Amino acid sequence: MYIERHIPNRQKGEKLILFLRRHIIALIGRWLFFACLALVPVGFYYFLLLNFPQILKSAVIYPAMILISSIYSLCMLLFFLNAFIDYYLDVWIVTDKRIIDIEQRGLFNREIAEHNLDKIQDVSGFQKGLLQTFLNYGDVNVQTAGEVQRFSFHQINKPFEVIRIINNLIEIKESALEHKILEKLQKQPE
Amino acid sequence: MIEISLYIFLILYGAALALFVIFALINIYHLFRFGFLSFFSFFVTFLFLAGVILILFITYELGAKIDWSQTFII
Repeated sequence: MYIERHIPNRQKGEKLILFLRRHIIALIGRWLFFACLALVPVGFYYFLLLNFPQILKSAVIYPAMILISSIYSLCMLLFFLNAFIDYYLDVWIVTDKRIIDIEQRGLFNREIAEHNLDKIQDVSGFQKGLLQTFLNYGDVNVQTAGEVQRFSFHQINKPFEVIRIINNLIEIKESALEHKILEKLQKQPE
Repeated sequence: MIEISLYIFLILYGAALALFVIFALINIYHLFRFGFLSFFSFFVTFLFLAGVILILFITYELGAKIDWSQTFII
């Protein structure tokens, strides 16, 4: 319910079909990278302790090292939070009327694009590599007739299932439109 | 030859810390302004804040043993 309230410019009667984020493994991969980087000062400390212990006794270098390590670790934590925000605020919403593409690019750049289902020309997707195949995540590309001609859902869970759902929605929308036109034609006096 | 106190390190550390606080606040603001509040986002924010407190505590513990009024010559 909370997610439904976050659909931008929600139209009357619009139903939420899919709410997509990147696969959690994309975030975990970045966190692991920062965790490895965060261990660098610890490794450096033990390297000095074993090879150059006199440096650690220096009245100048030791205090400087403590403060630099502290700032370095805080920066790694900041990158950790930043990676999460980048993951968490990149969202793709599929409703029964449109697809909304919300992307957070850096701290001060947020883009929201929406595409009506009737403007979508082609939906394709792919899984690349061992990890994507086994964990069943990948990219979905959507080709539209709008201003932004192509946009992608990156590293989402079950991409082929998402393609199937979007194609079904397009079919439903098209058949509803055909039905409407036929009804109008039937009502017109001969 | 210039004689410099170790306090200069603390001043530089303070400036870097101020920058860190600004960026951290902007990040947290983003999360609450645009984020979809959930247990996961609260948990990650909690982990971040707990990590910050832990690092600052360790820095304080290690730094408290140092005589920052000492000087060195360049």
